[in-house]
Amino acid sequence: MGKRVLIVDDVRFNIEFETKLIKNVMVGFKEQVTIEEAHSVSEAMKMIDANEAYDAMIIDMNLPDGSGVEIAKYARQKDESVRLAALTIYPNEYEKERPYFDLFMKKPIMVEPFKQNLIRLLRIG
Amino acid sequence: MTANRSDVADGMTTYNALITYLDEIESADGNSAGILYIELDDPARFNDLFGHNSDKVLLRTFVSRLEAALTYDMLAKVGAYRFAIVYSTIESIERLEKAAGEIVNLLREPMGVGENLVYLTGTVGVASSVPGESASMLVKRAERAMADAKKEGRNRIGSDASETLFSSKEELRLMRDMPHAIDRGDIYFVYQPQYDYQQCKFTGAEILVRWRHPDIGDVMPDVFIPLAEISGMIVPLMTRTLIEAAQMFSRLELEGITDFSLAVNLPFQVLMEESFFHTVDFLMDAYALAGKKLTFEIMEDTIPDHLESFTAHLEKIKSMGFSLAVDDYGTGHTSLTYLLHFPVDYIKVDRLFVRNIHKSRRTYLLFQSIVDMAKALELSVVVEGVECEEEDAIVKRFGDITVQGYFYSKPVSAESLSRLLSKQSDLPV
Repeated sequence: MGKRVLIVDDVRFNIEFETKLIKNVMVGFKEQVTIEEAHSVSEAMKMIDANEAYDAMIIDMNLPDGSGVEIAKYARQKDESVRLAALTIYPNEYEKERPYFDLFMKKPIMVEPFKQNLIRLLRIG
Repeated sequence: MTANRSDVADGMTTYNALITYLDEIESADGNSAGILYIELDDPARFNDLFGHNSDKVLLRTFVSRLEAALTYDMLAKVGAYRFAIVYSTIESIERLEKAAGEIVNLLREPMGVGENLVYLTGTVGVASSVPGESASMLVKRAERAMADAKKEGRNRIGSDASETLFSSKEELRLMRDMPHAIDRGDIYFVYQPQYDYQQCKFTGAEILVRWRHPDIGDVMPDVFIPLAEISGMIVPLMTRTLIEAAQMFSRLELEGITDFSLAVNLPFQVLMEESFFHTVDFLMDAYALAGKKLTFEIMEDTIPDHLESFTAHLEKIKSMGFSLAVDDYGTGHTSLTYLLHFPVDYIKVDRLFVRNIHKSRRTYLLFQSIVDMAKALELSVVVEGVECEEEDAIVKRFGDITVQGYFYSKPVSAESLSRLLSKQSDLPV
């Protein structure tokens, strides 16, 4: 069965990096994972509508057509139990938005902190 | 200061609480915080003379004098005889230096142990925070300033030299924009091709980092690399560099070029991070970096305090199958020490020993002796900065070496490198 994770980011490099990190962690825990990607707020919302529930989402806060917070609110409305991580260079600027997310991850992505956060996000290990 | 921040054992704030506090004030506002890092010179030496608790008596006296003389936001005990004082907001480094001066004055007052009067000595390091910097890095800078000042003598004050880096508004801005630049690709990579005389072709390239700022324009690496080192951004930047290398190896493989080496600069600070090896492990697997001809170049001026762990980290790189080179060989004062102690595979002779080699007998002789020595030690030689035909003609006489410089190619984009290499593979050997 495994986990379903949605990555929302408009930078290709980041999507690839995150995908490889997620797979690397999941292999370590012998867990299956399906990773999907969206590149904007609107695309992410469409995917949330169209697909079965995601276990977790990693959402870049600064997207071309809006803020990651909009996605978080939308996803939470649809599914109370989805686990949400915000990915941002400036976590301090999102104090007010903290309640919408389970955790904040910092950019630029660093291998070890990302992996640790992912384990917490997916509640594995 | 709350009770849970205190160390029950001696009632003083601990290092961990200090870091937590610094993190809190950093997130609270954008002001600079200041740190004084104090080390007292072994008060335990008085224990032999005046009884075994003398050091404790002296420390208590010192702390109570500090508390009486200075107004600060936190005082923490960060080592047996080490303290840190925090000012959550400071207007200038001078304010901190003034406070450090007051501490040194306190030390000049005699202290009582029983009926005896003694003088403590110590050193104070000063540093102020910069945006985006981690709390532990700020403390580390103050500690380093203290250690530097200590080399000069006792009861001295040292200010972190990197303070001057942040005097200009532009540099502060660069610090702030750097994470974004790494994320968005404003910081990017170019390749300096390396030409092998024996094989008569390009056999490798050094990866160089560049920053094109959308407003400021091109920022020189010697400006932003030190800023990256101070802010901790050097770690993600190194990760990016290694991913770039991995992707270039894959790209070249697709084009049928497998016998090609890439070199990256490895800052000392990154090498000594434990997380560095986790990152490399991950990249070896996820980005197929394992088994690739990758060289880590280390600046020869790096003189590690802990020779053993430094050597162990270098050995680890070798055991992962990568090569090691000494960069800018001949310009620092550790050249021979490096060759003596560390498992390097090649040296990169600094451009200084090539410039005008056709005009200067001294340059020629020095260059010759460096190459002779390297060959005797079975080290490969890469020569930097070959810029004209005359220089090239002389260097070529030394035979089995590799050169880089404008005479062969200036640094080029990934696409241009790939074109350059596919062109030469078409040529008959």
